[in-house]
Amino acid sequence: VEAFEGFREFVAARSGEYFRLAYLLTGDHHRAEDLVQTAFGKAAARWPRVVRYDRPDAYVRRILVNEYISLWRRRRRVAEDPVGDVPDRPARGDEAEAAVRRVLLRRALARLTVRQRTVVVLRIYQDLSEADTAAEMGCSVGNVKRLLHQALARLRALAPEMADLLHDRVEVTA
Amino acid sequence: VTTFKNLLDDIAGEARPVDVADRALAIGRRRRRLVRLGPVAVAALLAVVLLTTGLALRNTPPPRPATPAAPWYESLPASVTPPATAPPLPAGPVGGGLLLTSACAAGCPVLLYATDNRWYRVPGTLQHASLSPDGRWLWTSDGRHPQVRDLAGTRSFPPAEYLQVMFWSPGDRWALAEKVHPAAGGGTLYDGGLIRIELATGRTARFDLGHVETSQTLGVLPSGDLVVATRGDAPTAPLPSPTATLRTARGDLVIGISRVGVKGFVHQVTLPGAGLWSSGTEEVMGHPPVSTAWQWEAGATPALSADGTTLDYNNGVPPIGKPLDYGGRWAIIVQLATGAAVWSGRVDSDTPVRYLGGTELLARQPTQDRSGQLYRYDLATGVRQPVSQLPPNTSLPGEALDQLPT
Repeated sequence: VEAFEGFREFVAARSGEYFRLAYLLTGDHHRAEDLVQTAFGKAAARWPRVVRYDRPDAYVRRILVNEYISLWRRRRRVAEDPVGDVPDRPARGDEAEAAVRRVLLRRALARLTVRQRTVVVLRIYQDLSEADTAAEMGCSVGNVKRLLHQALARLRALAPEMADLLHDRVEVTA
Repeated sequence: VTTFKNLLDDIAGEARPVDVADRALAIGRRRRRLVRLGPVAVAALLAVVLLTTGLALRNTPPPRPATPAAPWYESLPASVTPPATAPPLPAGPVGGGLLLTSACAAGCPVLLYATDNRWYRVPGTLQHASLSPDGRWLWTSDGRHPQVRDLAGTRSFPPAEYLQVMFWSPGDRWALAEKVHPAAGGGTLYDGGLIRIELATGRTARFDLGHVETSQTLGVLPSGDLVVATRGDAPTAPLPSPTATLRTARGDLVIGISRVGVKGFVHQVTLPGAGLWSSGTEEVMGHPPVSTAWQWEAGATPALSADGTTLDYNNGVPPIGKPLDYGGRWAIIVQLATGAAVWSGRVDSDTPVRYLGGTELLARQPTQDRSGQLYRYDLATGVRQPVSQLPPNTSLPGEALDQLPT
């Protein structure tokens, strides 16, 4: 019991965050669940050490991201596009427009490469710095910049309706 | 930026968190056990591997030194003495055969002396048994049901009924057989067709030369081509005309390569002359005392070289201009590919077993009981090097029924 002391509390506190991250990465609820479960499982195996880290949450996130990338390497294919159809008739106003944009964005994200998608999620959704993103992904800062530039360019091409949201200012945010 | 991030937040908000703590803990415990037991398991596995390898090494005989495969005749002892009895030939490989022998010319069990220096009893009669030139394939038969066995492996196959091997190709790839039927009124009936058998596959091809009275097959080359000698004044049909003619100072020796149907090539050795064909003394005696042509002597054993390009045979009549001398024999070595006579000269009455290249033959002393000395014989120098003293009724690799000395 002592070996896993505090683990359940950690899972309860961080589970939502990791599920959201995993869902953004995989675009699929079941794969997100598998990914989170595996990441927590690996953390549990080393929990006595993990719990002593300054940022156990960052460590588990790194496990999750690495697991996602390595899983993709093993499968050699991007997750199936799980997005639904774009609503034919937006209900009303901004809410309808936002729903359409979410569908378009999920569809476009699904067509990015794994590393492009990862850099978008870490850099923009997680709001990590370039250095932290590079550390999470195990690559150089220059690589992060290049990947993000490519990812945004591809998103603009895939979802031109959202080109105004994907301007260069995203890339230069510190 | 804010809007894009908000969109990502919205999408992330669609995630459906579930409680995975128990499953994660189960994974964690399993991984911890593996981590703890891992070194123990690896050590145990390593110990098992080392133990197994050690036992295997102890039980495995030391590898034989890598020596080049020696010709079968170099494995023969100075003198071969067959045992009174021998076990039957096992189903597994015995490496190859060195000779076949029998206590009597007919009706006694046939013994095989194998390259593993053991004796085995083989079925059939000595009259119908034969070893391939390299000693790998054994042909046995009771006269009607032939069987070909790979002595280096376990493969065997039955050729068609009544087939009897005539020649093996150097290199053990082909056997040339003919069908020998018992005639209705007694005696033997020769089919006239030649069956070439590819030993590795058992595939056959038939050659119908159609002029058995005026030609004689001398062998089959490693390529599968047949070597056929025809008399100079004999009709060559259905063989096309020879493609090359060699005119020597001693007479015309025509050597050609002809195609028979689509089944293969025939090397046709045409020997023009005074119509001498038989080796019968009477016919030869009827000719002038000075030779006028090369004469191929029927019944002499030609020997194909290992590369199949050279043919050696004994000649009953000396070169043109030389006095006839019935006490000696004459030999010529011919390159089949070019028709060039490599060497010719007078030789003693030896029976060639194998042409070893240059002017060297493996030969055996011709005796009535098929015993005698086996030796290397240099045609040019006449030097003999004994190889082995053979027991009576012995058939050596490459010798078929009609090649046995009588």
